[in-house]
Amino acid sequence: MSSAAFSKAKQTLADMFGGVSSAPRQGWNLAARDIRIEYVHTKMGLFWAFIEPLAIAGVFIALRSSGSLEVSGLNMPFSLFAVSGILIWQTFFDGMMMSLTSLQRASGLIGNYAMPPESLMMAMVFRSLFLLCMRVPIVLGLAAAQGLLEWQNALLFIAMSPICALGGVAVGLFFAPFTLVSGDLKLAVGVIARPMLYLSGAVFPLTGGLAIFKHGNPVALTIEELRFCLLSPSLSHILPLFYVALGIMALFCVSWFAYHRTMRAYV
Amino acid sequence: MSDVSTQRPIISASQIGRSFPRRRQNNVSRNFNDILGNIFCLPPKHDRDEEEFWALRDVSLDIRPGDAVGVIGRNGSGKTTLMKLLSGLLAPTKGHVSINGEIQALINLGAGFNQRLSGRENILNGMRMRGISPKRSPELVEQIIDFAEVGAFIDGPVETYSSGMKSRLGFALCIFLRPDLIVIDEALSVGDLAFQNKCKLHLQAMKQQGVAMLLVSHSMTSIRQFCDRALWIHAGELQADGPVDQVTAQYLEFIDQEMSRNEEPAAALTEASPPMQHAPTQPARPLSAKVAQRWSNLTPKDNKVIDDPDKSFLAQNPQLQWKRPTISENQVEELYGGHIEPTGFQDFRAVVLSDGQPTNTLQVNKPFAIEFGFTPQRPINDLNVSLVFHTKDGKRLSTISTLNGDLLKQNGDSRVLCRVNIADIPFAAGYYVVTISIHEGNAYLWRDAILEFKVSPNRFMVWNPISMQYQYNIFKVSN
Repeated sequence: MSSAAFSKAKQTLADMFGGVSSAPRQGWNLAARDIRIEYVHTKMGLFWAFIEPLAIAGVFIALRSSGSLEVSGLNMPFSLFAVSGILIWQTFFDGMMMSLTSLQRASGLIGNYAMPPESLMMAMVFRSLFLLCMRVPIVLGLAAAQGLLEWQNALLFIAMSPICALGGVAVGLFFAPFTLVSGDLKLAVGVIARPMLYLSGAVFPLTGGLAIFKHGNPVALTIEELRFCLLSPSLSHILPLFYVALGIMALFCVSWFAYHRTMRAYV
Repeated sequence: MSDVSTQRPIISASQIGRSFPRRRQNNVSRNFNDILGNIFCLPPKHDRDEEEFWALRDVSLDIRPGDAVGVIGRNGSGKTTLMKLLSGLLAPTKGHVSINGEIQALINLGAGFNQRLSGRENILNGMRMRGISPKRSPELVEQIIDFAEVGAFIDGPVETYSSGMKSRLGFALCIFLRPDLIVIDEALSVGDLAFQNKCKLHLQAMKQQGVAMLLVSHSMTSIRQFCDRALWIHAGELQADGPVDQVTAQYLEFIDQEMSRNEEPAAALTEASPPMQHAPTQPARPLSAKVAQRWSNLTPKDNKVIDDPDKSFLAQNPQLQWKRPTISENQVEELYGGHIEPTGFQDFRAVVLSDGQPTNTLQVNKPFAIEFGFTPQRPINDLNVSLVFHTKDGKRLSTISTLNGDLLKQNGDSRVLCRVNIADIPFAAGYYVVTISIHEGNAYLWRDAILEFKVSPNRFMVWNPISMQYQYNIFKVSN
């Protein structure tokens, strides 16, 4: 690395940490604004954010009750398996897509408010966590309704589930700079990611030939280990989650650096 | 109050520059290697350098509390880029900007509003985004709403507002958040004349409270009225940074040269105009002889201060009352460029004098004078007065302003008493109206018609509004 590049990197790191001070407040305000805008002309307001996961849960509860859909070999009822998997995956997906398109959306904002890239990043984290907050109670409620939930497991699940929100934001931020090259990337990521719902063990267990999609897929791993946290946590399940969390944090830092430099240079 | 020059700068820019890719201007984005190279902090390759457009290069400056700095330059010279860099809306490609204080940029007013939210909700969002809690400052919300004059619309979605309402709301939001520096990029053309003046008065008051201002404008009058210092940007480079009168004069000289170069037919030129020297020096240069002569022609050489106010006609005749011409405010608005209600002074009097006596009838090409006086109700340190002569049907003929020479700038709260001697009235026979503009900075304290007079014909016919003094030489040519 040349000395000029090193000095630029050093300056970028200083700017990044400088931006962190105002980021939580501005990020929170931005996220609150976006959420308010989303539900501004609705009668039920924030309740809509709760209805979506509730509807998903309702569908699977109905399917299970009717006996028309049952998957064997699971350590939990299929409805809980599918609802927990889908909602965790959906949180990851929403965070990723939100971050992926953030540079385009940022140009209008930063033309009016002087704010560091960190504020926008924090806004995405907060929005993603907001969605998670609407979904976690559904999963916990479903588990409780089926008599499978213990309070310490619930706390562990609540503590570990932000991994999927942060993971989605980190992946989205990583690819976001390249969406400036072409809008195709955003569409391609969406097209590729959606089928991954069915190949990450979210709806069906990955067995047989499909197990190949589980290996090296942190989303599949996160979903699987979070389910274990919900019912029968042990160190052998918490440890992999801890490693995934470390990996996500590392990816988040790399993405942050790339995002910061791209936004400062091109937006 | 501490010396301004020793205070810590609100903005300190060091060798800043900003480039844009030319390809993006052609709607083609950066390529993958550009993005990757930037992430890895690699310098751009030489072949790509040619595709960079430098909107601004190597600009260094400080803005301190209380500074009022005008930024001038032709379209596309880099003024808006400089504003965005200084206000933190854009990051410099080179150099560094250090910001120590709260900055409000009046650029693209209202563009940050969400159309689906109401005006009130946008105000609350704007306050939160700037770190001000609306719950702790409910009176500020009401002040903003009052100032913006959007009335009952405030609780309706912004998408139903007119563009003027959005701009007014944007302007009010920015100026009420008590910044240390306000950046104004041609944003003062908000709403109607009365609202514009309200904004200017508010900005003038903020300036007096020590809020620094950075104003971009193509109006040299606005810049000279409002600013003490000016920056001239040309082709992305800082050409001059210095006292406002010197820098604006230098800029006008440059424009004059440019126009001469474009307008004069090439065949008539015996000597090519020397190209404008864009000296890298930052301080403003003294005026060239040509410009100095032109400017001095605008202000008569015999301007003088008379220590004995009793020599004025108005002082000698206190019983004479000034009577406003019978011209409605609407007519002033429509015919004479706008009407602004008086504020900040009292006891206005004015009179037209011919041969030392009040009159409302003058003779073509004869001397006359206008005397006027008023008393400020508070100290006004950026005072200037303009008298504008119009034909009765609204053609603007001539303006005489104390801005030339800053004759009243430091008047304070003393009574203003002036006589303007005019050696020759060059107007054709007809009816004329004089309007007055009393300014504090570039805000109006008053704008109205103050005098009306008739010009009587002499024995010669005059066909147009102006009657130049002339003398014919007839050369007798024998067959």
